[in-house]
Parts: sequence; structure tokens; C-alpha cells
Amino acid sequence: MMVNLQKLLPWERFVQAIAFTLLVVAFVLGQIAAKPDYDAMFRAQLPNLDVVRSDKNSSLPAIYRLADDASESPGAVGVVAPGSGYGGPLVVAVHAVRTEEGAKIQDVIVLDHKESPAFLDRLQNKRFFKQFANMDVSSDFLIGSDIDAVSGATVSSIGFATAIRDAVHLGATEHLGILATWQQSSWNFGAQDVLLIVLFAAAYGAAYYRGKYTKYYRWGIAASALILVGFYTNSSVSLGNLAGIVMGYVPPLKQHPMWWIMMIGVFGSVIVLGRNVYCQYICPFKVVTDLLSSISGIRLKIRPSLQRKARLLILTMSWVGLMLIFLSTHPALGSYEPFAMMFSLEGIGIQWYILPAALIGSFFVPSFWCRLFCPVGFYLNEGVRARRSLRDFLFPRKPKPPRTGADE
Amino acid sequence: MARKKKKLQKPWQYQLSFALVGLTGLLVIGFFVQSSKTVREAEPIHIAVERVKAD
Repeated sequence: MMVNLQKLLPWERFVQAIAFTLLVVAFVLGQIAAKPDYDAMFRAQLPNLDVVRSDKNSSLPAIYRLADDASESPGAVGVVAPGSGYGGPLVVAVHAVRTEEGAKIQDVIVLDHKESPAFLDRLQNKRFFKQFANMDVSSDFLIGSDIDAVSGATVSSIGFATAIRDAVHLGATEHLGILATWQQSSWNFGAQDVLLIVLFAAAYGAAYYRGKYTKYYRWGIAASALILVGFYTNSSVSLGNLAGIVMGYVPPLKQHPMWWIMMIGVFGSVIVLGRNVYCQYICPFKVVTDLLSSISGIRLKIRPSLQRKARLLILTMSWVGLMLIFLSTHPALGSYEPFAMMFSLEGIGIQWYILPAALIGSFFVPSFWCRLFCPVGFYLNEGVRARRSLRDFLFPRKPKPPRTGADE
Repeated sequence: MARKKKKLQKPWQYQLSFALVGLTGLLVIGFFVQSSKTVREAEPIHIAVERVKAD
């Protein structure tokens, strides 16, 4: 939290120190408590089967020999394997059985995940996991080949499909003795990743381009961001993403290049250009709220006293959000932004009310959410300020000589 | 050229914007309460278990 300490009163410094200490304590407690027993969870999901762990190591992935109570079927295997989603690590379990037609998937169980509930709801509602049922274990399980991604949860689709694929193929080769005939996984680098790079390049250019067509150029970027980052991939940056990085939730580049492109694009603009390009051009939620503001034409102002407290408001809300994230080790639990829900139209409980409130607010007050509630914009702008302070500290500008009559 | 005079906002307009901020703030607090209940559960990690059975 980049706050100029010189401007703070002693009691404010004390509160800030306490708040930061509590964040550290929550982080440590969360890391200690987050040790779920996947072995027991997997057994609980298959109560009618005799589940015997085959491998001796205690870490994941774990392979199990499964047998029916009534008739022993030695050709059944269970695998619990880790993966990586957009929000953080995930754990899936698969149960495959050898039949006369070949070895088929019987169960896919999501034991753990860090995705936004909106994403998981969307995957479930669009029957994403049903695609795996009864598939042969020798299938490729590749997005775009034999598995379809769910638009609006594309990155989560890739994460779950890769984890399931790894688990099934491990069980097939290690336990069922099936030779690997499937296509080897390659980079998940697709059209959406290329388009995101192009979008960032265009946004970086827009930060400097001033010309006759500036207005149209910016509208073009905004429309592209809305479609690509909003509706198609639903990969807006949230407080959960920022907290996830702190907790070490960094997905493999090969599997989630989009995450890397997004983060490099977002932080690169702050570090290299000293500008917050994400909020200005890429954030699809800002595009929607700006559009609403343009449609209404209403430009209500916030009371100046409240505007001055906006900083404290966002700091407090993001602190509570971070505490929840660190304690639960689940980024979605403290991520109060309605971004993911906006573009998937899936949400849980009170999330259904935050989105319309933010939209109605934007209808009357320009940049309503961005100015008063958005933690991502706040921290990115703080990053820009910190960069500027560092630059001024390292390379102090020479004071301009006083003007004299001879200059004129 | 004379400067364009800034249009002052009426009190009810400030009240409306304040009400919108207050409402959204309350909803965010509600979200935190909802999330904290999930955190307090015995197995907070175990958020979703989906079992897909072959038809």
C-alpha cells in the first residue's frame, strides 16, 4: 500500500502498521491451514469402491487401484492430480474402468479449485465436465480438438481439461498398461493469445498516438477489449489475481500464456511506460461503464468530502478482501469486483446485486466503480505514482532557470 | 473571452450520488459477510465437488 508516510499522522501510521501486520498473519495462517486431505476426499466420493493407493509417495499425483465391493474389477484406476486454473491451483480426480470397448472415464471429480464461482458455475451449466464422461482414456483431451472450451470461461476450461488429461493419461500408462498413442500436449497458444498481444500493442500505441483518428482508434480498442477480454475469454484482472501472485499462484506459461500476456501487459505498462494502460484501454468493465455514461449523458458529481475519502474506502475494502483471500487461500472469496459475473452472467448470492448497483451508479456518475471501488485500478495507479517517485529520486530533474527578459 | 461558469450541482443530485455509493458499499460489505461464512466453514478449501457419472 503505497502511502506517503510523511503525510500520515502518528495514529494513521499505527493503524497502517497494524493492518499490514494482520495481512501477514492472515497469509501465514492461511498457508498453514490450507492442507486438505485429498486422499480422504477422493475416497468419500467413491463410497462403494475399495480404494487402494498404488503409489508410495504422499504427494500428488496419486494413483489408486479401485475394485467394486461385489465384483472385483482389476482394470479400474483412480488418479488424483493437480492442475492450474486462472485463479490458482486446482485438483481433479478421475476414475477410469477397462471395458470390452476399451478403457473409459467413469467419473471426473473436481476436488479443489481457486476459480471464481462464476466460472465454475458456467462450466457446470454449459456441461463442460459432461464431455469427458465415457471418453476413451487414449483420447487427446485437447481443447479445440476433442474437448470444447466454454466461452466466457476459456482459461478455466483449459486448466480443467489439462488437469483431467494429465490424470487420465497417467492412470492409463501407469496402471492400465496402455501405450501412449495420444497427441502430446503442446503450447496452449491460440488465436485469443495472439489477439491479446495485438490488443496490448494497440493500447500501448494509443497511450501515445495523437492524431486525426484518435477517437476512432480508441473506440476500436475499447470494442475489441470488450469482445476479447470481456465476453470471449472473461479474463479481466481482479484483486484475486493480484493476491494470487502474492500467494504464488502463477500458472505455467505453456498452459496459460494468456495469463502471462495479461500480467506482462498490465504491469509492463506501469513499469516501462509509467502509465496504467489496462484501466485506460483494456478493462472491459470500464468500456461498459463508459458506454452507459455516454448513453445517459448524466454526469452527477460526488460530494468533494466523499471523493477525498475514496482512497480510504478502496484501501479498506481491498484490505478486507485480502484478509479473506489470505485466510481462505481462495482468491475468489475476497474478489468483490463484478467483472467475472458481468461477462458470464453467473454469480452467487449477493454478487447478483453488486453488478446492477455498479452499472446503475455508472449510469449517473462517470467512472463510478473505477473511482470509488476498483482495487485493481487503485493499485495500478499507485504503481504508476511509485514509479514516478522512484524516477524522480534516481534521476532528479534539474530545476528550470528563472525566466529573464532576454528569453522573450 | 469570459470563462464558462461551472454549473453547480443541486443538493438532491449530491444526495443521489451519495446514495448510490452507499448502496454499492453496503452490497460489497454484504459480499464480505457472505465470503466470511465460507471461510469459517470446516473445510473452506472444499468449495466445489462435481461428480460426473457416465450416462
